[in-house]
Amino acid sequence: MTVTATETIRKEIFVDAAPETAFRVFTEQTAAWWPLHKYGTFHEDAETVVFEDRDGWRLIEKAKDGRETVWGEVLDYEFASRVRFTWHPERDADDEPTEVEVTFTADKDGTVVVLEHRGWENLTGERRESRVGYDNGWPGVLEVYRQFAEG
Amino acid sequence: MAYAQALQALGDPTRRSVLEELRDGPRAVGEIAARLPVSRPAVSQHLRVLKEAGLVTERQNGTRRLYRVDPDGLAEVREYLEGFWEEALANFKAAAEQEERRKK
Repeated sequence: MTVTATETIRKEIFVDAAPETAFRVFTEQTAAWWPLHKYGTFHEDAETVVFEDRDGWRLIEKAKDGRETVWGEVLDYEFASRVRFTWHPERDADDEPTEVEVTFTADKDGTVVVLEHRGWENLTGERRESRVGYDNGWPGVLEVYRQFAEG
Repeated sequence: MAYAQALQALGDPTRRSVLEELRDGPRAVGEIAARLPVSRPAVSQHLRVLKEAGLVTERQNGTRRLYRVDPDGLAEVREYLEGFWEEALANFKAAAEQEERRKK
């Protein structure tokens, strides 16, 4: 397997808005921009995706019929500066999650937003058989990719 | 798009299980079937789909036909993941800038 498979995915984008605004839109208006119907686990039944405080902040996808699935837990955050969360759609929280960190840095009249998705190398342990088996969509892909990233 | 076919192939949980059996190295159909609650013909069918999707290659080794993961296919999947974040962030940028204008 190629080495690049475990490299952190890094995306940088300039946003013409203050860091405070960028941070709020990312964490408080997540559903306004997340491509949910294309990249959610409930597909056309998806209603929203939100960061919610439930004994700690979590990123939760909700379906129209009330079903929910936790995509990740916020590990730490600093208002208008950064947020870091685990990322495990379709898997249990303790089941080898990958990690996403987003930083917001003031630059000129706007904000440089850097997103890093890492942890592909954390491929130890057995897979859980109990994970929910959504029948299609990218979370399954994510899982398979992770399973093989280390090769 | 090759990755679209890969995604479609990976949509089936049983097929993902078949692919995951190749994680530790090349395997023959019988070896995979022995480890999964799936018949041998079904495993063959799944492997055919995975092969057409570019995720698996096969090779004859003496009397045995071995299947292994195709790294190029996984590179396609990685591109898909990269594309997902790019699309999400582009949407995010538009939403954040709209919010900033609304506040002014």
